[in-house]
Amino acid sequence: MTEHELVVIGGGPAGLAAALAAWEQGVRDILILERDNQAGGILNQCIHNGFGLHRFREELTGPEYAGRFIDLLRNTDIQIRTDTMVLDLTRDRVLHTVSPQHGCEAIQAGAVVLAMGCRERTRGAISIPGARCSGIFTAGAAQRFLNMEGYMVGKRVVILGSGDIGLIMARRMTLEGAKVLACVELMPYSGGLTRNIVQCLNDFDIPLYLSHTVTDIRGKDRLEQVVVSRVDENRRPIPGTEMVFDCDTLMLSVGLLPENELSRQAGIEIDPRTNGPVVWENRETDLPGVFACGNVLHVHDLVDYVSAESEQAGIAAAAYLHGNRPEGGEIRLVNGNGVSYTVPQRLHRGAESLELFFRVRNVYRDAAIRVLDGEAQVARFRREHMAPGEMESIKLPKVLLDRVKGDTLTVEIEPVGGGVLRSEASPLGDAPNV
Amino acid sequence: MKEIICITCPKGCHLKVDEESFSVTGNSCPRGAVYGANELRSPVRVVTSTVVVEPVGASIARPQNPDCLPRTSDACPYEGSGKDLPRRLPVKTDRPIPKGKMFAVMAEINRVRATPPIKVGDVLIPHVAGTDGNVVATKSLE
Repeated sequence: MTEHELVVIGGGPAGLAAALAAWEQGVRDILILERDNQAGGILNQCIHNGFGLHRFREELTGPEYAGRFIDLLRNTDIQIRTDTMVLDLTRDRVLHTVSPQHGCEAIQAGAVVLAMGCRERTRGAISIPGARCSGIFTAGAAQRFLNMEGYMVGKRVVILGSGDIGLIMARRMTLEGAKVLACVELMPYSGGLTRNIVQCLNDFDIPLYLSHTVTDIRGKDRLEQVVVSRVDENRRPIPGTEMVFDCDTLMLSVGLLPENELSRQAGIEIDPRTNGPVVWENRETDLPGVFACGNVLHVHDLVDYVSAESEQAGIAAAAYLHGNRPEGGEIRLVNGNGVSYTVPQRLHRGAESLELFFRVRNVYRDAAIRVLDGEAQVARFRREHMAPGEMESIKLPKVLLDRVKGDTLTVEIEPVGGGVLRSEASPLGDAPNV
Repeated sequence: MKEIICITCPKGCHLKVDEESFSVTGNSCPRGAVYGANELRSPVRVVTSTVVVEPVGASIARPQNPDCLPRTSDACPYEGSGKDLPRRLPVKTDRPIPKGKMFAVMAEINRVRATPPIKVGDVLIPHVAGTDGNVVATKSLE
């Protein structure tokens, strides 16, 4: 068995930022384990621009954003082992790995950072009926085929789900010569950024069918047709509203799931709302010495936030290794009115500061975020605009945290002016029926 | 009057832009007025795509049967290094180009090949499709 001070599982943006932050804190024996044959994670296939506006104040493509971190890594002694799959993580922080170069190995880690990211929901996860032909891809798989392997996956495409990856692929396939017939969204509003609706669909006159879904898949060997139906307010298909699209490819952009098999194996407590580990304000899980950051913790909208969060985890892992472990009782964060989850879920009394990420349940124009200690208001933040698709964050300094007397802090949304504007969540309204 | 959605920030204001005077209403901040006028007057976009990677030396083992999909491990072996080269190099226009030229830019991108070594920012196509933008690499290949 080999030993390392810090082992980071995953060499994507979260793992790279966590490892670099730990290095800067003086940890010198750091090993990153990466399943793919290069570092960078999903950024390598995200060749579009729009990354790094917060962090670098410029618009970078995915490979450029990853490249900035990989360049920093080159100036350190951080080891990165690619083509390496972690099979198992024990409660004593022993990792079992397998790779072509080293075969099966056991590694004892002083501390572990979980940075495995997330994966896409598939056809099976949403149970689309119909034939089991080829030509059905998750949008991210198609993106990898096209942008990294160099294969066009189809010529006539229907996209189910209006998440950002689906929208980005609509533009990408169109630019490469495919015909994208429609983007179909179950909900009455799009799950993607407005910017992507405008630049990926509107620019190419691709219709967006809101409150619609795929109700049948037809084809013998390869996909030949998909049937799209309108759904009612309970998301049930309405008979008689079927539209048939002749296509050879169906892409699914229907959500992401944090990849927590290893966390579960280690018996780490998982929050059913985020599907990620329950963490303290320093991103430590309930298993001491094991930290989590990035999309394995909760699905982020922006890689900039992943990097920031992962640096916190890296700093905390370094502190753990140096014997500086937070003390103080537990304060639980409670989701109040309009809040669907918070990260972190726990806070040490006496913590230096708290950066809280959360999502709201509705679209709000003019609202306030309130933080309550029982009935007493600890802090209040005004926001002009909030939406479920846009992660919110607030920062609470030590002076405010020190005033908390109770065992819980509640985060809630208070509509101020316009209030809840769910119907305006769709920037484009409903696309016309054909 | 043309209706567009502002993408300057996540609020997504619905703008109304006059086609002659380029005056904007419906914006809730000055950036919206600038965006609305530009979007009608001369819309521009950054184009991103990929370029085929051509290894050094010509006689590269490629799959003989075109129906047979090469495995990832068949990816162009790069002479000398012993490492597999990626099959595609990601690229972008180094500034936004006129929206109407997007497909012309794509056609030029699809005609070129990239041979390592390449550094981020290396120009592959200067003044692509008659614009003042250059197509540059967004990843380094050694």
